Amino acid sequence: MRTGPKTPIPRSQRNDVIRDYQEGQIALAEALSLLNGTSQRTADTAPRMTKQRLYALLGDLDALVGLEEVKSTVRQVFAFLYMQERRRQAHLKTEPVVLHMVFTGNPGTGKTTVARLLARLFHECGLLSKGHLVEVERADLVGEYIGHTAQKTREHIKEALGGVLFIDEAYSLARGGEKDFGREAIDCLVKGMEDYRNQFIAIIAGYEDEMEWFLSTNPGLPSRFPIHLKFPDYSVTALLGIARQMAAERQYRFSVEAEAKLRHELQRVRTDTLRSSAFSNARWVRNMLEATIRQHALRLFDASDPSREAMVTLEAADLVWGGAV
Amino acid sequence: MRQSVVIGKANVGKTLFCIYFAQYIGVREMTWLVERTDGRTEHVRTSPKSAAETLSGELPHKTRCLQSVCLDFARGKGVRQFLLTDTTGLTDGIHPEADLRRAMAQTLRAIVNADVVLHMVDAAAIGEVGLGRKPNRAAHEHGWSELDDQIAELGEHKSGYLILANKMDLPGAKQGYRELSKRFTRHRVVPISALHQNGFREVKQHVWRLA
Repeated sequence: MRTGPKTPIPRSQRNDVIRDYQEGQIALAEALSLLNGTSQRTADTAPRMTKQRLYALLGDLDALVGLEEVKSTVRQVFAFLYMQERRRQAHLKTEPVVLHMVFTGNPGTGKTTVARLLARLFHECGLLSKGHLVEVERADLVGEYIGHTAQKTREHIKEALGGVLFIDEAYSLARGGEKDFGREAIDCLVKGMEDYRNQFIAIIAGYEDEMEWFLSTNPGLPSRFPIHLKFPDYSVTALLGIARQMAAERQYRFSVEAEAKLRHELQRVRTDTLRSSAFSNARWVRNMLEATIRQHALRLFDASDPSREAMVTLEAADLVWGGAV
Repeated sequence: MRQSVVIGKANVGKTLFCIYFAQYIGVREMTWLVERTDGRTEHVRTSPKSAAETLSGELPHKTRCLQSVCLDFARGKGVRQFLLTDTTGLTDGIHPEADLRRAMAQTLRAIVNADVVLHMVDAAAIGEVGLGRKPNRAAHEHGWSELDDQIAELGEHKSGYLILANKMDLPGAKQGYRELSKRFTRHRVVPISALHQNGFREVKQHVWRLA
């Protein structure tokens, strides 16, 4: 009696393998080795990055108030990463991506917040292995004597591998003139960005005019940061939204009168500081909110038995703003 | 009826071998059972001469379906039938053409279901490139590659597996045959020339034994 041909894997799996090949999911040699049973089907044929997961991640970004331009750019980057992943599954070529960024904007426009969020998002979609944020400034990079700078800068780059290196007020690196060690830090940074191109993301941030000047000091700099994100000043409505969101996070809310008073104050502060651009945007809101919460606590301290409602509502009388804007 | 498939890379001479081998066995008028990739089957009757002209060619991927021909072997007092199936040539990687991928998937199915695998390789290309050495790109396409390794591995599980070292008429093919027989024992590698119909006697002996 004739027995059927012996093959090491069951019939249903065999058909799966052949169908995968037909659909262009796996290479022929791979398909044959699967049929032989010499190699096992690996689990990572399933996509690491699914659309649902991306939507969930981008939901965190959408929770930020305003910043439409930033959001659309980040969406673009994520769409690109997703397509990279899909192309990899289809065994098409994928070029490693360079995602170093420049953030420009006035104080308190969310540069650090977005950087921190991006580090997490990139980590969760598998681009960065650790997804931590190393925040440095001039003092961390520039050394005290000749040769010290490169050493310190390299140290920070090493520390940032697998995450994001966030250099705040980056323009100060170029400010010291010809003999300043800041130049050395820039050179070292540029070198590190080339060497570890795919292992970390460098984000340099600062005020718009200063950053423009900074990028023009070194001809190689602008091209090494392919993504430029502008953080515009928030409108009054956006600031009010931020205030509401911040209060909600702390389980507070504004009464109607308090909101009207706040809107009025925001309009005044915005117009006052428009020319000097010294308004610290969301940071002003945060400071105001913290002062208000303290004032609110002081008011309720005298009340004998405050209701739950009173404990969460910030009244117009609680609103305080100090001298600093 | 035993089923055998002739497989190998594109353009190694599978179709030509099938035609001439059938002729050698004694088939005067061939009835091809053609299985298209979309599932249709048809019978095509040709003479070996016209089949050689129309079915095989210089360009790779002339055959894009399964073409089977039935061979009769006298064995003992009866006659054993043996189905020889010509297949689409295999290429490494993922072929960009969907139709061809479907045809190759059909080949894979045929391999899985077959009892006997006749693995055809281009001995001349192997002689030029060598079995183990890293070949250059052009020769790599026809020489021995990972794909052939996998087919050989698959052949281990079959009741019959034979390597046909084709194109022995070309210069350099002897070297290729030597390397092949060093790697796989001599009785598993048969040197042939499909074009000049050399070496068919040995193939017939092997196939007869398997039928």
